[in-house]
Amino acid sequence: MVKIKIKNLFSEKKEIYANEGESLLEVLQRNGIFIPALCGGNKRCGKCLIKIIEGKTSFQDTEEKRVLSNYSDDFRLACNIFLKEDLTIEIPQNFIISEKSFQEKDSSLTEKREYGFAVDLGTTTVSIRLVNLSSGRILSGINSLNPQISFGQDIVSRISKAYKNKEGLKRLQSVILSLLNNSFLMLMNRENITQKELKKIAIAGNTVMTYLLLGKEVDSLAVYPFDCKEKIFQILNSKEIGFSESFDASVYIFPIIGSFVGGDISAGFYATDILKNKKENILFIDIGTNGEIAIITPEKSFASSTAAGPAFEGVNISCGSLAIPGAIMSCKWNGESFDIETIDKVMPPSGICGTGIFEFISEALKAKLIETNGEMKEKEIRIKENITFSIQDVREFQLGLAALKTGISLLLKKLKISFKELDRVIISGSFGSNLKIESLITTGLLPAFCKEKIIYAGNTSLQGAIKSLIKENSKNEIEDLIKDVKHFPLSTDENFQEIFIEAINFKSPE
Amino acid sequence: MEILKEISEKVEKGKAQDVKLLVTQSLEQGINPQDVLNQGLVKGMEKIGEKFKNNEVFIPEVLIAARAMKQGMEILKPHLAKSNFKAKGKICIGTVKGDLHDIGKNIVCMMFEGAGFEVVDLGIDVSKEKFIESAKNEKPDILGMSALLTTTMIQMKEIIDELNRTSLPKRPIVLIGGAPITQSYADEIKADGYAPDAASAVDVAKRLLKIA
Repeated sequence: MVKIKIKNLFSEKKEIYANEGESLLEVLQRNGIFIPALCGGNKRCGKCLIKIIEGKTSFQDTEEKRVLSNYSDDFRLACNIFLKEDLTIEIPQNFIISEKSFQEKDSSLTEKREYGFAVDLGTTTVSIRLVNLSSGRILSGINSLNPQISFGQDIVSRISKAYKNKEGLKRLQSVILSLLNNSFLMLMNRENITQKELKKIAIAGNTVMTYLLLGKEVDSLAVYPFDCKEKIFQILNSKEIGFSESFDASVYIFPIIGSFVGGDISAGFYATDILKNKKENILFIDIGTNGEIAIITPEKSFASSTAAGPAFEGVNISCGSLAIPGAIMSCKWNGESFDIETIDKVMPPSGICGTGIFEFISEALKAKLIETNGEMKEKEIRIKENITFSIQDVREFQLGLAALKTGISLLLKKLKISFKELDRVIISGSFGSNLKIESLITTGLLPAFCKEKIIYAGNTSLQGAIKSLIKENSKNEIEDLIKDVKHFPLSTDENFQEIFIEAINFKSPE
Repeated sequence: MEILKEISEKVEKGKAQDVKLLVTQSLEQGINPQDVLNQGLVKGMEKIGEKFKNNEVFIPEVLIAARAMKQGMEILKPHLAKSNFKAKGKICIGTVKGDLHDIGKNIVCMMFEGAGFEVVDLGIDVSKEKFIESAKNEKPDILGMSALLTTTMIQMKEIIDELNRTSLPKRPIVLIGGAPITQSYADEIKADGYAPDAASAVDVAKRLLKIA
C-alpha cells in the first residue's frame, strides 16, 4: 500500500491510497480526480502532466522524454508512473486551454461592484467569462476542457454513464460543479472580487450538459423518442444547485428547445437576434459533435439536432486530436505535399484536430487525392511526419458530414424552401468559426452560391449567456423568443435514409 | 461461364438494367437458375461486400449494387422455385427498441439476401416481445440484432436471456452487430456471433450454421 498526497487539489480529497505497481493515472481517475488523458494514457498527448514534490517513482522512458522535452525532470506523465513508494504530487491546472484577461476598465466609466459569470457549457469545452453587470465589461475568462471527458467524449457516452445509474449521474455532476467552482474562485481571486459581489450566474449548455449539471435524470434522453420533460428552469440560488456554500448568486439556466436542441442554441438565438428578424430566411448551423441546425423564416422556425459523431472533434480518427497545442489546425496542398500549421506552432505535430481535418479533406479533394465518393488510390495519405489519414478516417468524416447535410436538407424540405431562397447562413460555435468558407464548400456541406451569404457568428452560446447577465428581464424575453421555435426530429422522417445516402458523397446539395 | 461472370461484374458496378437483361438471357440459354444465383448475383455481392469490408467502397456503392442484385433476383425467383431451390437459411433481423438506426441493418439484410438467405426484416425500434415472437413464428436459423447506441445495446442481453427461457422447437443462433458492439460484449451477453461489418456477418453466419 502506498499513500499519495496531492497538493493544490482541484477536489476535496487530499490523500489517496493505492497498491504498488499501479499506474498513477488510473489511481487518480479511480478516485474521481480529474486529469485529462486525451490519448487514453498512451504517453502521447502530454496532458496528464503532474509535478513530483517528494518520493521516488519509476523512470522516464524515451517516449515520455520526447513528450516532456520542454519540462524539468520533476514533471512527469501520470500515465507512465507506476507506484513504488509514498508520493507527494502537484497537479498543474493543465485542463485550462486558454486564459485571457479582457477589457481594462475605462477610468471615465462608473461601475457598480456587481459581477456575474457567463458559462458556455459544452460537451468538450467549457468557456467562462467574468462580467461586470452594470457596464457589461468582460474582466477575465477561462476556456477549459470539460472534465467529464474522462467519462467519454460524446454525449451518448455521458448519458450511458448516468443511465439508470444514480451514482454515475452524481459523479458526472460533481466533476463539472467542481470545475466551475474552482474556476469561479480563481477568476474572482485574480480580479479581487468578493463572494458578496458575485450576484449572477448564467449557464448555456446543450440538453445533456444542462441535465447533468443540475443532477437531473437523463434516462429519457437515452432512447427513442429522446424526450426531455423539463425545458424551462426557474431561477435558482447557487447553493440549491450545489455550487460552493460561500456563493450567494442567482443562477439562470437557458431553456431547452426540445430533445437535444438545448440551451446553447436558445442562447445563440438570443445573442444573434435572428428570431426578431421577420424578413429573411436564415439557416443557423452549430457544427460540432452534436450538430444543431435551425431554419428561421418570417412565418415559421424549426430546429433539429443531428449526431454528427465525434469525427469533427478529431475523435475516432486514427491520428485525430482535440484542438490542443501541437494539433494540426491548417493544411495546404502544395502540389507535392502538405504545408501544415499546428496550434501554438508546437512541432512535431501530435495529431490533427477538427479544423485541420476539414481543410485536409478539402485540399485532398481539390488535388484529387480523394474522389467525390470518398475513394482513395492509396490506403492512406501522409499529411506530415507520422500523421496520416486513412481511408477509414475518410469514411468516418463522410458519415459525420452526411448527418449534418441530411439535417439541413430535411429542414429545408420541411419549410418548403431551397438553398437559393436562403438569405443568410450563420455558422456558430467556436469550432465552426475556425472553418474556412472554402472547406465548407469543397467538402459539399454548402453549395457554392451560398458563399456570400455565410456569416461567422463565433461562440453565440457564450455571447447569449453574457447578454442575459447584463440585460434586464432577460429570462422572460428569451422564453418569449423561443416559444415559437419548434423542435423537428430528423430520425423519424421517412426520407431520412434516402437523403442521407445521397449526402455521403462530397457533392454539394442543390 | 462468361455470362455469369458478366452478371457478377454488373452487380458489383450496380448496373441494374444490365443485370436484368443478362439474367433473362442466361435463363433463355438454359443455364441452371441456381448457377445464375450463385455464380452471378451472389458472386457480385460477395465482391462488393469484400470491398466494403476493406473500405474501398462505401454505403452508396453497396446499396446501388444491392438494388441491381434485387432486380436480378426478381426475375430469377420464379425459376428458382421451379428448380426446387432451397435458401441457405433464414434470418430474422431488426434494430432493438429505442433505436432508430436503419442503414447498417439494411445493408446486413442485403448481404444476406445476396448470399442466398431468406431475410425477414423486423424493422427498427423492435421490442423484445417482437423478436421472440418472430423466433417462434418464423422459425429462423438466425436471429439478428442491431444497435447503434450504447444505451440501447443493453437490451440485446435481455432478448438473449428471454430467448433462452422460451421453449422453441429450434433455437436460432443469435448474431449481433452495430457501432458500439464488440466481440467481448458479444461474449459477455452470450451472443453466438458478432460481426464488425455486413460482409463479415454473412461469413460468421455461414460458419456457425456450418454451410459453405
